[in-house]
Amino acid sequence: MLVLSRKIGQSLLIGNDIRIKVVEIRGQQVRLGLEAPDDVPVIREELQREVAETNAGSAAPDAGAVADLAARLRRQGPKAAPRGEGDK
Amino acid sequence: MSQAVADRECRSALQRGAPSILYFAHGLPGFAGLRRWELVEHGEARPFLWLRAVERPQAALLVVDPQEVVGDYRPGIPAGVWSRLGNGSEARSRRLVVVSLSGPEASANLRAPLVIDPQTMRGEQVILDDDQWPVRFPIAPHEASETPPGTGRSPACWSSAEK
Repeated sequence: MLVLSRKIGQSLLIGNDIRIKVVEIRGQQVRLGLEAPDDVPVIREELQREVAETNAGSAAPDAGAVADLAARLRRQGPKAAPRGEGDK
Repeated sequence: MSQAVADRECRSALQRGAPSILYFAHGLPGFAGLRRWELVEHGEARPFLWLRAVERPQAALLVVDPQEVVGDYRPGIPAGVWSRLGNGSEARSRRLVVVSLSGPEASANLRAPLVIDPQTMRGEQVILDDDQWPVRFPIAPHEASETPPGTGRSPACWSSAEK
């Protein structure tokens, strides 16, 4: 992995059109500004990994369990949306 | 509107016109390299659908229209998504959420909806910045007194009793 030192306000370019700028350093946290073309999704890696895990947990469940779940959902209907209590 | 009608509308919106194969240009997290997916319905599983990889049919995710599991789900989709969906439009786009059934209880991933443009047949699993939406939102928990299988299948009588 390429490791570079940057100061606040300095940037890195990846190719011609991706720019990463160090905006702020606060203790153990670094705030980065990102500019990338619309066709490049920018995703936090740990979230990507968590989504990959839940996707894998969705793959090929038992058909009987799905039918039971479907019957429960048809009885219960939708639940209220969560109200910004954060991610579990 | 009954769930059956909602289902049918969802399906017809997704299947309108050819081709019926959805293209996920960036693949799906956990399923690297699989870009072509198709929605498959299964009567017993309604309102759930399967999103099945064309190149590897044993890779199939359980998905559902979020309206079936959560009220008032209006996540902010980043603007870049629409151009990645081929000039997709928010108005005609459809959302599906991935359902996990790995433990005793099921959950839906509200943090990473599948956004699909039925016209361009392109889709993307969008990972939202907003942590209001959990990755594991519990759905349809087991009831205290489970009714015997084969009964209580009529949604109308039960949903009116809930409210």
